[in-house]
Amino acid sequence: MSDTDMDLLSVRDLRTSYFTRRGELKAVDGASLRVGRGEIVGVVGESGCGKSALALSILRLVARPGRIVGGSVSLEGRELLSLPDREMREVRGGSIAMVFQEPMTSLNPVKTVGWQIAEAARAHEKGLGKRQALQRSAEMLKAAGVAEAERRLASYPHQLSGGLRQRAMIAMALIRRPRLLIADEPTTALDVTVEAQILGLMKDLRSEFGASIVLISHNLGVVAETCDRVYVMYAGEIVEESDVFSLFERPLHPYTAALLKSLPRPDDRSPPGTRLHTIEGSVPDLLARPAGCAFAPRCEKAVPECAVAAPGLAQAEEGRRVRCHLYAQGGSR
Amino acid sequence: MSDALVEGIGLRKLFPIGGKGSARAVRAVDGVDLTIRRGETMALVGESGCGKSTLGRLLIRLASPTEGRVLFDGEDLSLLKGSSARASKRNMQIVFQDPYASLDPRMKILDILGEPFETHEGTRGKEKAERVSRILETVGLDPSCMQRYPHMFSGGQRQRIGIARALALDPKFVVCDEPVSALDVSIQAQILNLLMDLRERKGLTYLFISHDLGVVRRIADRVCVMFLGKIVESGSVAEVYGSPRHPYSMFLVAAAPLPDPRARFTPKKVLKGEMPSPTNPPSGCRFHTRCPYARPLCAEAEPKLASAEGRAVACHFPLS
Ligand SMILES: Nc1ncnc2c1ncn2[C@@H]1O[C@H](COP(=O)(O)OP(=O)(O)O)[C@@H](O)[C@H]1O
Ligand SMILES: Nc1ncnc2c1ncn2[C@@H]1O[C@H](COP(=O)(O)OP(=O)(O)O)[C@@H](O)[C@H]1O
Ligand code: SF4
Ligand SMILES: [Mg+2]
Ligand SMILES: [Mg+2]
Repeated sequence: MSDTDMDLLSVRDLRTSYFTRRGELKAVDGASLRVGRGEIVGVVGESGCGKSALALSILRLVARPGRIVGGSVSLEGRELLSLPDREMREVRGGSIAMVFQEPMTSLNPVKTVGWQIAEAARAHEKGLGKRQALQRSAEMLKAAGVAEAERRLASYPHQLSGGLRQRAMIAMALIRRPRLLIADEPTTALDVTVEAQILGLMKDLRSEFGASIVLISHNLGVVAETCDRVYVMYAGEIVEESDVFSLFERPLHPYTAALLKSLPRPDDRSPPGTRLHTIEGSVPDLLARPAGCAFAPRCEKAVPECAVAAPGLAQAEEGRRVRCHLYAQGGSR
Repeated sequence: MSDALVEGIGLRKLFPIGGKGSARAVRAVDGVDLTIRRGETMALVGESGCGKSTLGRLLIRLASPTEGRVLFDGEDLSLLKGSSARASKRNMQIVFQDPYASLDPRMKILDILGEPFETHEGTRGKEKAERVSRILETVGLDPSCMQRYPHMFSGGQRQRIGIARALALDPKFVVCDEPVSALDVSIQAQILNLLMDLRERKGLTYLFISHDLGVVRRIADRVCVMFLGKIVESGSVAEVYGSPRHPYSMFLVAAAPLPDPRARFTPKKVLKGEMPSPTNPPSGCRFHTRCPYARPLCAEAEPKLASAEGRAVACHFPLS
């Protein structure tokens, strides 16, 4: 199937850089990704690997000194990168919505939650009366799992717990009936029991509202439990793309494999004190990227070629692509 | 020598709010008994605001309790004066989540790490540099970095410096307060391994505070689950995770995301509702407003933490 008629979102060779005093920092260095209708797609990687830059680029919200320097982002076949600003604003208020890690930064502190959600509803649906909009907001808050939703309409953001604020953000995002929800670390600031509530909510929303979701997280557990397909990022690049089951059962890229091995798991059975697998060293400075594969200096499986030539993203198996010399010729080692 | 290194008895810490004379207070730690055995790693888990950091600080006397006592090696800390108080303080140290916040940005690593030696032992000059150099090696840093300033280090390296500072004076007991929570997985594993190595080499006892159940599973022998200022359950990590007896522990364990996509086929037990206020906690069992197993007794009487066979649970109707 060609991805234009199947996919909701298609990102191709996207490149976004921050032009810092020390030089050009390639935060997203040629990322391609697609999101099917009703799909929950994960983007996972350690901090600084470019996850937020990727999300902001899709929405064209990259702020200076950053800039999208190339590639294509198309939503239902429409190219977003060349859209006039006014039309792009409509896309952001309509087809695509975004939820951030800290909802406080995107909620207005001096307006009630009800007012803010109602405004979003009225912006989306011209001619909607104030009363009706508030009523709609209460319904949406309820759908987002907020108890006593009517009463909560009158609350200000600071009067709500982190979990409730995130639900209010999600309600505000969904009241516009977006086709795509981009959630950047939506549960990172929350406690696990609240995180479980919010992730459950996102899964319900996918089935109830038919929205596709891009879930960005540094947490492998969150991605494993929530997503259908996953993109693993390292140093500005997508290094592995896979369905979620194969990825966790049999990671292909040495980085993904090492990351999973070094993750302490609650369902671990080894005796307390057993040492963890480690990935030596640290992520490369994006301003001084090593030549060749960005992971080579830390990779246990590196071959001489890795330090010299940058591997491309190659298909390793049906539906799985890997950026690694070990798989370059469709081989698997 | 008794088995217990640190004992908290009837510990309470209230933070008054609303100015003088106000009767309202945040009941951060509200009646905790806890024993940490020599050489073990005891974990403290629970959601933010439940009082983990406050309890950790009480145990090493960084904060004084509103009520209750702390025994260290059998001695009541509040009764110690002068040099014996100082000596006991040396034996108790803390590693913070963000060491950067507690490292003076204008000081070189040499002076940051040399400070404990200077103040406690009067060590200066070349000897100080030697001690710093040794402690840097202990935590896996190159001694040549002692001339640098904190901002020149990555998060993982800064945490090594935080650990070095805590260990400088060879303490017996270290409170690790979310020491790897701000670090990425690959760096987190390095720091956890370092903490495990040091524990073995130096015979340390840890109180390991964390909200990450995976991390706790690896490093800790026993775990206390806290809810709203109280310990609701304790026991070996394997037992508490494997068969939690307090309903809150059960929900906490169930909520932890597993790096296993097949987990989605087991319906998740999701805790409903919001955290009650620590200023005005619910009557009886503090969990009763959210507990699906609650019966009338739960709202009336506070369940005591009852121990049997190495496990303790504070619930009128514990799960079996
Ligand atoms: N405003 C900025 N100026 C300069 N560099 C930036 C800026 N924002 C992000 N970066 C850099 O871009 C890279 C990717 O950042 P980001 O997308 O935020 O990573 P992630 O979300 O995966 O943690 C990082 O190296 C980061 O330091
Ligand atoms: N210095 C303080 N003054 C007032 N309230 C405090 C202080 N320290 C902690 N608290 C309150 O005490 C409760 C427990 O806090 P803390 O021990 O930091 O919890 P945790 O470490 O489990 O997140 C919280 O409600 C917190 O707001
Ligand atoms: S005492 Fe009652 S309310 Fe508390 S946890 Fe047990 S069953 Fe639930
Ligand atoms: Mg980010
Ligand atoms: Mg804390």
